[in-house]
Amino acid sequence: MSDLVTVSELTRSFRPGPPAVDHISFSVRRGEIFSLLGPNGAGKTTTIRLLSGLIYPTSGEVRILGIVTTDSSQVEEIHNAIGLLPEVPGLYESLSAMQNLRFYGRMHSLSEATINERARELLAAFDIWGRRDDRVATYSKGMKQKVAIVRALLHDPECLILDEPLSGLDPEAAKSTRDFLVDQRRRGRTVIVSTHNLDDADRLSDRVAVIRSRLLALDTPSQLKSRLFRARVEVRMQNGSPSVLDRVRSLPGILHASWEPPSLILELAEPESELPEVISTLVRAGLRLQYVTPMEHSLEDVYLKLVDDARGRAGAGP
Amino acid sequence: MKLERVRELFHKDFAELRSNRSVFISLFVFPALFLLEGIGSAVARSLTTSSSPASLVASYISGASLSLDLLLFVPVITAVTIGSNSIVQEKTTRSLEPLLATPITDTELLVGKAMTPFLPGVIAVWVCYTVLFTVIDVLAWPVTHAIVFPTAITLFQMWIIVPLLGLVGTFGVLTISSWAKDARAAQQMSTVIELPAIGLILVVFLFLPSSWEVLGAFAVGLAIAAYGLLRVAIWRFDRPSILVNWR
Ligand SMILES: Nc1ncnc2c1ncn2[C@@H]1O[C@H](COP(=O)(O)OP(=O)(O)OP(=O)(O)O)[C@@H](O)[C@H]1O
Ligand SMILES: [Mg+2]
Repeated sequence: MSDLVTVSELTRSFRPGPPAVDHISFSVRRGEIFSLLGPNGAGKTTTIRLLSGLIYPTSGEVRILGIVTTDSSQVEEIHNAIGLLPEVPGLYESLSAMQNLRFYGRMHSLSEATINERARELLAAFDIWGRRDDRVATYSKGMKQKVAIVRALLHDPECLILDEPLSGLDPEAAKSTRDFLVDQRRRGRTVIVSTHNLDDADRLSDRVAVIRSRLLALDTPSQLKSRLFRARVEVRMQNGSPSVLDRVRSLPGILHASWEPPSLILELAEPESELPEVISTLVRAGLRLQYVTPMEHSLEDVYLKLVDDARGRAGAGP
Repeated sequence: MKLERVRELFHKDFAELRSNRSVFISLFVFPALFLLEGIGSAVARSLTTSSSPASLVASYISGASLSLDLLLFVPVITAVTIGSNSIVQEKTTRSLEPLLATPITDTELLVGKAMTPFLPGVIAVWVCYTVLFTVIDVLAWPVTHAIVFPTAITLFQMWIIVPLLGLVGTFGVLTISSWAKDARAAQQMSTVIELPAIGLILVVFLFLPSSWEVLGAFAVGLAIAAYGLLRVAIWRFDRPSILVNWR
């Protein structure tokens, strides 16, 4: 079985108000980086808490390693398998980073030697080793976030569940954390992250679930982009004019064409097979082409469109 | 239940308690005060009274008994002070969430969380009782050539009543603090348990004659109260609702 986490018809309501998470289903494969993407209040944190068994669903279920998270006799099994980074670091402020980690290591029944070795390795990787014996209260926001990430990794869990892991980190720390997560995947670990940051989701994830209480879309970043938008190509030329539109509009496969000086923007059904004909037509007409580039839609466009559509649907009422 | 996890939680809570200087020091005030009252009054009498040796011993005993009774406040007061701080701290730093993500079970969490409010007060009283017994015995020995303390009743007080009071204070404060927003609110709300307990101690030990019937009834009452509060605490420490309800 290659699915580590299966979520079926997951629903969670808080009184009063509509469900924070509404009939969401997906599964996370072993060894992938899976992102939960959604606007504020979309239910990301609620989903993360449901996934890690900290709160229970109103209906539906989550299975981790085949175990239902509400099975209280399996708490130990489930929680040894996951490493959680909550929304707020939640460290013991009057204790040092090392004391915090030692406490959590012992909660996971790690040996003293393992705790020291792992803590040393991870704290050094996150640049906190030198401050390990200072009280956490004296740390900066980003440092606390790093210690909380280290805490999630300490027992080398099979599955990392991270609520906005990169928030509060400077670009350098964010990059090393991303590299770290990719490295975890290489080692066969599964990573579930929630994020607002579309760039991060794009660069990092194997698959992205866009949620806004409901599951709006779930696919690889590139599939999401191509599924929602038709392929577009920019043809930039030295001597173009609006009149080129007349030449291309009649060609087969062109869905839409527009002139945005100094470029012609084309939407095509199948660029690979239709573009050669378009290009030679333009060249024959004496146009001097500078370059032809496929136009990537960013995940941001995808996201904004999905969230916007969902809002529209919700606003339209029953 | 894994004892290592319970012990670890206790150690962590105790380390946090120690780092909170003002609260930690305030814990010593009452035991020290009540103990000194007992020792001080006995020593003062032995130096100043000119009455007969027998009535001198009687006055040692009555002086010490007052101290022994006053010390009964300590397990309750200590539990409320420590418990309200520790629960509110878990809430304000939001440290409960990562803790619940560890393999800790509900029972381990409740027992571990109960140790820090419970143990220091009870142990402090046991130490004070032992010191007081020894001091009175040493003072009285030249006259009586026999051991005056402990009596059966004071032993019952020490080993049964004191832990029961500690349990009532602990389960009460854990439950009540789970509703409170900050340490001050938790402390104020906890007076709800503190006051009746203290009132009862006053009535039973200072105004009623100390008899086995009264003491036995008091112990049974405390046991029932402790059990009732434990049930509520178990309900409040229920894993799936703790993060949602404790706000
Ligand atoms: N304990 C709770 N009690 C009541 N309502 C809650 C609780 N937790 C979450 N909610 C509600 O559920 C909805 C989703 O909240 P959630 O924190 O999961 O969003 P989020 O996607 O993590 O948002 P953000 O990006 O701001 O972190 C919100 O409307 C919130 O008010
Ligand atoms: Mg959130």
